[in-house]
Amino acid sequence: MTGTTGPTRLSVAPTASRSRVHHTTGHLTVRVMDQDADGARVGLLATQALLLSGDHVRIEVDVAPGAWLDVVETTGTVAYGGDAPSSWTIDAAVGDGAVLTWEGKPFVVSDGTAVHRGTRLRLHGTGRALMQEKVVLGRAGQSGGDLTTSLDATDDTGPVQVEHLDLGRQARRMPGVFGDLRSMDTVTALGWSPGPVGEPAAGTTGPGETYFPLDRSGAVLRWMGIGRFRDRLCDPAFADWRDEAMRARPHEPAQV
Amino acid sequence: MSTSPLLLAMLGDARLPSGGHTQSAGLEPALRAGLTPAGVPAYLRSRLRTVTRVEAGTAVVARAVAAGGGDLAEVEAAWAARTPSPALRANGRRLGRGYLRVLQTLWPGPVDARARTWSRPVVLGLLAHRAALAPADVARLVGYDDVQTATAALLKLEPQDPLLTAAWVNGLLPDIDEMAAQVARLRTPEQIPAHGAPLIERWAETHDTATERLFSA
Repeated sequence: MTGTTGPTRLSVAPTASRSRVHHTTGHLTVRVMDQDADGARVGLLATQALLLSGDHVRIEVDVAPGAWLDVVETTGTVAYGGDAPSSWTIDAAVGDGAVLTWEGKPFVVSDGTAVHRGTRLRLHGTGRALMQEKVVLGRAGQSGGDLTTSLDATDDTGPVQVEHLDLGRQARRMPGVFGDLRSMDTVTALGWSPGPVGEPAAGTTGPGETYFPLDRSGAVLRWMGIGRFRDRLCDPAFADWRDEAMRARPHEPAQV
Repeated sequence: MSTSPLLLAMLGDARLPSGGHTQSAGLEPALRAGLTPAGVPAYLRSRLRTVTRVEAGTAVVARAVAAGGGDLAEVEAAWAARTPSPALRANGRRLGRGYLRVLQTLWPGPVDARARTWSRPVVLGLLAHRAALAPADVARLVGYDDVQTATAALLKLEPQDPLLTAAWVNGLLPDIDEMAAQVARLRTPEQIPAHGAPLIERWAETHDTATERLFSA
């Protein structure tokens, strides 16, 4: 596969009757699952086998002021090995009073893969974003290839969260980075600071959840573990925090 | 621009009363999580590639912004956005107040009213500007301080031959120089590295709630 496929674009804007959803198909296409005057819940579907060596999936999202957008990945994604690196990048703008929520499915980094996952978020005014990212190093019986991730989130004041993780085979085994862990589930709320859901256990060793209130308007719940997703708190936290984000919108969706 | 070698020695000396004696560079929780004393050099290399690089990059940029008359609050915001652990942010800001006392006593001058809330690397960058410390040297200072802090803490947490840990520090000097060279040219807050270390950040939060501990971080 070559990187000639263009970006998947998705935008939503409120109207008086039914929100306007525009999309351009790239490696992914968009299916509207639910819709009201202000926003939509959409599914992202792959249009071809993903993610192959050399594939660069780009998703550009624009949530207009006052709109809401709930993105659901319909399936997990396996990044397959090969000679060329691959990438999966999200670039989203969230307008004043808008809400973007994005429930990621597991992203599996196979042996022999070099893949980058990048997320860039620009929040405006009172815009809020909630992202869940689940990554697994290796398919069954594998230890996994090289993964780097980046998050660069800003609002009108400045940076909210900036994080680059090098989870390459050599770097991740260094003490204090990822050790021999294999999976990570990260729920990131930006634009407001929701409290912890449940009681993340303070553990002395690696596996488990940690709740990180950010310095300004944001919070992260991160679980790390050895193998399958056994975390108890990330999915409920995503659901609770999504409800919180939606409730805080300036105009409640019209009841029909 | 060259720094006085004696100035660098003084700032890197544990006898400088800046509050460093309360610190283990995350080593105390790392040992509780299973790190062995023999793994300490690898742990320190890991920090030099991640959290310590963020600190050093922040100090270099703060120095450049102070020299250009810019707003150090923007550097503080960039550091805070790269430091997800509230325990590490609070610790960095406590240490910032310690270095602010050093700065105001040794290099007196007008200081922004918000400086009391700034983290150690931001205050250190301001100090580097006032004291005419070269960019690479303030980065070296951050790296060296981190390495010495952890090895000194190890002698209290799991006593070793102090010559063995001194040899580790000596062996890490090229790594510190390499890290310093990589961040020395940074000038703006967006350029500050953002390399996280998920386990170090988790351990820092756990340690913050531990009731029995020798070091505050």
